[in-house]
Amino acid sequence: MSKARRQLNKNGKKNRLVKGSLVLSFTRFASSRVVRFFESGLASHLLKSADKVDQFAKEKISTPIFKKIELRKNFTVPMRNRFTSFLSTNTLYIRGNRLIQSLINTSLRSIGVFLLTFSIYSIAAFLIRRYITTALGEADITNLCVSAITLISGLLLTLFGEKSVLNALCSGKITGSLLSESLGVNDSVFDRLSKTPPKLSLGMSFLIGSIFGLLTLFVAPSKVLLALLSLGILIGVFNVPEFGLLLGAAMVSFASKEFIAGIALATVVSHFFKWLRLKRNLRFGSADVVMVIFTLMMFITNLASGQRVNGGEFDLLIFVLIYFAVKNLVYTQRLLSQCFSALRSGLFLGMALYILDQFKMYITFGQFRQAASYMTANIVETDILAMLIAAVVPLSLVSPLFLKDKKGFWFIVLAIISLVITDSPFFYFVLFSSIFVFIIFTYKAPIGGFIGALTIMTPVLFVVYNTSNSAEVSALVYKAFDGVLETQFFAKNFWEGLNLLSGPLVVFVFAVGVVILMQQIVSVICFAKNNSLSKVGGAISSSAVMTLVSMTLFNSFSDVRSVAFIFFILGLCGAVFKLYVVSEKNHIDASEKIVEVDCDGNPKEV
Amino acid sequence: MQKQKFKLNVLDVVIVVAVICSIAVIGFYDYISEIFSKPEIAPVTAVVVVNNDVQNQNEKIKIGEWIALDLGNNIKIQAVVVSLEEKEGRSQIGLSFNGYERMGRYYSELGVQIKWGEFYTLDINGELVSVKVDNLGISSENE
Repeated sequence: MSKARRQLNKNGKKNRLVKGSLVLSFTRFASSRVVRFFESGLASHLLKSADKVDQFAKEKISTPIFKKIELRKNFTVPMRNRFTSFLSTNTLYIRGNRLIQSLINTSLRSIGVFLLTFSIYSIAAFLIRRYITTALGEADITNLCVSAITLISGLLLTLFGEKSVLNALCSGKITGSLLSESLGVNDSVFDRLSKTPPKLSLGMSFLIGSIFGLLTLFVAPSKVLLALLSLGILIGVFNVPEFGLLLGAAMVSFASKEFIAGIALATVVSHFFKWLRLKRNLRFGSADVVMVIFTLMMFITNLASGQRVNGGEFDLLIFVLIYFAVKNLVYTQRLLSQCFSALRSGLFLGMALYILDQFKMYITFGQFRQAASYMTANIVETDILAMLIAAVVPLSLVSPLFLKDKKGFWFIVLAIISLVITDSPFFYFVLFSSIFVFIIFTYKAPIGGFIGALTIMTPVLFVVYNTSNSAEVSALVYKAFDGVLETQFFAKNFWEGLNLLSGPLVVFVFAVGVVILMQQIVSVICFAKNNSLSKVGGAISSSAVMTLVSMTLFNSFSDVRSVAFIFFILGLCGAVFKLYVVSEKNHIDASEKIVEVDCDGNPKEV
Repeated sequence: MQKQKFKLNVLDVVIVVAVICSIAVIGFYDYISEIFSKPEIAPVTAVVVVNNDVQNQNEKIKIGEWIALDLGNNIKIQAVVVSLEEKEGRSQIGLSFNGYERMGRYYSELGVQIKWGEFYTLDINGELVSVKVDNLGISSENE
């Protein structure tokens, strides 16, 4: 019997077992009754009106206001047109653009020569410092190691680098899969340049390598390389704002808040410039208008109030602006899937680093322990990690089911390992709540989800975690991870924090925005004709629900990166609703297309 | 179904090599650091055994006396006698001179390696005596 047939039989057996189960069929029946009742009731009208709220706001509020101040629809287009035509004639912009194009079309061999030259200079700089006493200070061995690695890399690239930089980046197993699966770089960029042959500019590479190499006399080579890499990332973000958005999302759990804020700012600015150049949209629905008001109010009140956020008001403002970037930049299902992938892979790495952080004290080898400490220096605290995991679990569960991405399983495994390490009932609560909320929203199975949650979560929460037996069980864990459980889950929640920072009015405006967004996202689950979009909407809404739960349980302001995450998830809600509106419109358009008109102008069915 | 070929391009290879090199650097950082850092000059103690000890040499020299140790290739270093013992009928002389240790090896201040079990010539009051290095170490106290 073939392997495929055996698998088919196995699946069939499983399905028969599920279908034959009396308890499951009862819960299924009860759930479908509840959903039907809900959909035909008053709530349904409220949900159906989600897109009408937008329309109403447009017709009754924005259009009259625009008319009154004599602004027509799309009034920014002429201004943006002027800006685009200005740029198309601006010499500096054209030259800069040409430089970037030639940089990404340059051959890897040129990069190799650059690295070789750079490393030879930096090794020379090391030797000068090592053997001659100068005012430059003592030679650092780390500089030599970095130079040596650069030398080897440069040598490899010089010998075998025939492709262009962009070609190599996109076709590589590691870089290509990272860029196209998780970081939002789509094929359009590649198609534009792949046909032109890679350019080889050895003289220029040698010159630039010499200049940067000489710099290593004063600055460490690792810093020079890091600055060049940052410049590369910045150029990438300015060319593809989605790249910045997803890079920030992926690194939120383990990169420093300055880095995340920098990437977020670059993304927002890049998106703005793309909008000015008529390459991306910036549309405001009802929820967005509320969020704009919230952003302005929050910023003004934050500046005025004496309270200070852990991370600064400007970081907070940038993170709030992420909402608008996500809402407008995620405009296809592919980008949505890339968002899920970025969040999942980033948090996977974050969890791995978190586990490493807990184990690093047992690394006997000093250098590796130091390296582990360096890598885990910016890892989020346990409560914030629980919040991120709870929100990403639904996205990770939906990926293999509807987006044909089968890497979600390992995410769940690592999440459970993290749970075991923390041994925290609250971590357990949010993680498993997330799974059941996902079942409730995505499969429209409220009864099954609740019964499942009650039967599985309650005993563990109230029996295992509350008995002395549990203390014995977890004693080993306590011993091993002494001090890990020092969490402050009920210290102060997001709402209290926002109230302290900006006042109750701002909290109210934010709550209104969240309610509108939730109405929109739940309407996607209930009414989307595209099944996969409905399920994805379910996952996003469960993610948003878990984020809201976490915001109510934990103090997100303790780590300002979690605020960026909250607004990213809220932005995703808005993006999914926008995708739903577009798909519904397309659906209507498609159904209109098959209606032919006869000679009298009356429609006739095909 | 055709199996997809797992092929890495040069950039992937560079990334993998760089990661492996970084791990190796972290692992061997202490050694690398020892090789490339400036040596710290300290008093090296060498216990030498006089070869062909026909006559007891201990009577000819005194503790605290400076004597020349010929390392070959016309390189001589000045060492101070720190101990004098007799073992199995042979004279054991403890010498101390400026040098350094690197990767378990001992060098004179000029960078000439002094090896265990190697024969050197000692100039004791004008008399050249062949000695064999029996023990080497860094003196803990500055003399």
